[in-house]
Amino acid sequence: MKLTFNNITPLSFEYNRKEDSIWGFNNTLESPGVYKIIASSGSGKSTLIGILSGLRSDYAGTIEFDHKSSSEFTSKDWSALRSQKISLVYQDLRLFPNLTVRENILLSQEITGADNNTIQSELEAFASGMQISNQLDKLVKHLSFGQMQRVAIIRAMMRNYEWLILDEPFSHLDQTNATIAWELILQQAKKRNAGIIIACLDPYDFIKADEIFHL
Amino acid sequence: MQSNKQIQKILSANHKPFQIGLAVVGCLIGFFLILVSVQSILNFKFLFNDSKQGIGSQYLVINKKVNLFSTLNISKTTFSKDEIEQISTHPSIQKFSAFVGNKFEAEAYLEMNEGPRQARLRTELFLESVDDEFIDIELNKWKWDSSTNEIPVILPTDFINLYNFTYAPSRGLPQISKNTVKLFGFSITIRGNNTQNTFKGNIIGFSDRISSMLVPKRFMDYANNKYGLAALNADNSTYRIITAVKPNELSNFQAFLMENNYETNQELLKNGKFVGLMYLFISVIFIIGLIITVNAFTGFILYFHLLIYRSRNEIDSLLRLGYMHSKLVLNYLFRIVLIILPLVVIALGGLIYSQKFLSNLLFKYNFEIPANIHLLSVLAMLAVTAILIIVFFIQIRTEIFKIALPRKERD
Repeated sequence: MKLTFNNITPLSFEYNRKEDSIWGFNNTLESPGVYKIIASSGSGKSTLIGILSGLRSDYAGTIEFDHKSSSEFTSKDWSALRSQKISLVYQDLRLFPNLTVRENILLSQEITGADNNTIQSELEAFASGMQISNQLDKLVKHLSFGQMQRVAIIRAMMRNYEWLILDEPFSHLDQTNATIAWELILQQAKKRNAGIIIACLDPYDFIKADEIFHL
Repeated sequence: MQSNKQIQKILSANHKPFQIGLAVVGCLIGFFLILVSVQSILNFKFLFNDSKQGIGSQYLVINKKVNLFSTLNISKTTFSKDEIEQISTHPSIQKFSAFVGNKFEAEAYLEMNEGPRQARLRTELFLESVDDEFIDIELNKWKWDSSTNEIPVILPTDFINLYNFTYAPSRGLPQISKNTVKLFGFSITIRGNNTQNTFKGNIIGFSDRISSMLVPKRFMDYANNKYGLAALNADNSTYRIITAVKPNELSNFQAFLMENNYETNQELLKNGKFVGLMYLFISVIFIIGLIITVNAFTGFILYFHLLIYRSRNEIDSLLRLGYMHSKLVLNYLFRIVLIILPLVVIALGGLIYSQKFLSNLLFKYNFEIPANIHLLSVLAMLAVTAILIIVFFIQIRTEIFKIALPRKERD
C-alpha cells in the first residue's frame, strides 16, 4: 500500500519547516520500506501517528492510502484500515491491563481475523524471542513498562498489516532487547512484504532506514 | 468466540452491580404498574361491555322539569329539534332514542282465577315505545306481526313490585311471580278514529331500565297511524329521551343535564361518579408507573453513561485496534436487553398471577373478568420496552461515536 502525504501541516502547534521533514512537503512512502522519523519531544511524532491512524483531524493537507484521500474516510473505513492495513505500537501502548499478555495478543488477532492455526506456536516463539515467555499468563497490569512495550510489539507484529507503525517502541528497552525486537520486527515485515514507519527520539543506529525524516 | 469473552471482561472492569440495583428494582415496579393499569382498563372495558354483568353503558331517561309555568301551560316540557340534536351529539352519549307515546285510547283487562278468589282488573293504559337497542331483555320475542292480534309487552319491574308488596297485601290478593304474570290472559283494547280493536297482550318480560309499559316501536307506529287522532299525530313532540351514556362520562353528562335544567335518575349518576373515579385512579397508577419507569430508565442510562466514561480508555483502545464502533454499541445494547428482558418477563408473570387471583376473587362477587391477561397489555409492555431500548440505543451510539471521532486537541 502506498502512503502519500500532500503538504500535511499540523494546526495545533508551530513546526519547523526543514527540508527532510514530513510537515509541509509532498512525500510518498511505499511498502516494503523502512522509514525512520526522528524528532525531539513535542515536535509532533504522536500527532503524526494520530493523523496516520485517523485519531486526529487537526491538520491541513491530505494523506492518501492507495490514492484514496483520508478526508473521504468514514469511521467504518478507518476501522477497516486499522484492522487490516496498518498495525500500530502506540507510545502509551494501549494494552488492556486486566487481560493477560496472551489474552491481549489473541484479542487483537481475533479483531483482525488473522489466521488462528499457528497462532499459539507463533506467540510462544515471539514471547521466547522477546524474553517474556514466563509472563504470558500474567495480567498486563503486573508487568514493567519495558515488558509491556515488548507485548505491544508482539501484538502489533502478529496482526494483519501492510504498514507497521511504531511510536517510540524502544523507549523503555535496553540496547540488547531493542536490537532483538528490531530484528524480529524486520523479519516479520519482510515476511509480509510490509512497510515500517518508526518514530523515535534517539537515532538508534541499528535501525537502517530507507529514508529518514526529521520533525 | 473467545474475543467476546475478553471484550466483556474489558468493558465490565468498571461495572458496579450494586449501583444499578436501585434502577433494576424501580424499573420492575414501574413495568408492573404500567401493566396493571393497562390490564385494569381492559378489565373495566370488559365489565362495561358485557351487558350480562350490568355495568356497561349507563341508561338515563331524560325529561324536562315540570314546574308551575309548565302546569299553567306557559312553558313546554317537550324537547325541541335543536335540543334533541344537542343531546344526540353530546360526546358523552353513545346512543339515544326518543320515547313515542300512544296517541289513541287504550285499556287493559286482566282476569285472575287463582284459587277461590277471582279478580278483574281494568285500567287505562299509557303505552310507550323506544328503539329496540334500548330493550334490556332477550329480543327474540320482541317482534310484532300485523297478521296476529298479539302484542308483545314489557312491564316495568317496579310495576309488579308495587302490586306484590303494596296492592296485593292491602287487598288480600295473592302475590304473583314474574313467570306467573307472563302466563296471564291480558287483553288490550284500542280505540280511535271511530275504530276499535282488541289485542292479546303478551307479557314477555320485565324491565329494570325503563319504568314504562313498552310495546314494539313497529306496533306503536302502526297503531298511532291507524287509531291515533289526527291532531295528536300532527304533533311530534318528544317528552322523554332515553340515552346510553359512556360509563366514564357520567359526571360530564350530569353537568350538561344541570346546565340545561333536565331531569334524570340521580341515583344512576352516583354510579357514574364512582366509575369516573375508578378511571381517574387507574390513570394515576398508569402515570405513576410511567414516571417510575422513566426515572428508573434514566438511572440505567446514567449508569451506562458512567460505565462508558470509566471505560473510555479501553473503548478507545479497542477502536484503535480496529474494533467496529457499531459492535461496541451492540455490545452495550445487548447488556441492557439482558437486564430489561427478565424484568419484562417477571412483570408479565406478576400480572398473569394477579389477573388469575383477581378473576377468582371477582367471581365470588358475581363479576366475571378473563382469567388470562389481554394481548394488548403484553403489546403495551413491549411498546414501552421498545421505546426505552431505542432511546438507550441512540444515547449509547452517540457516546461511543464521540469516542470514535478523530480528536482535534493535541495528545
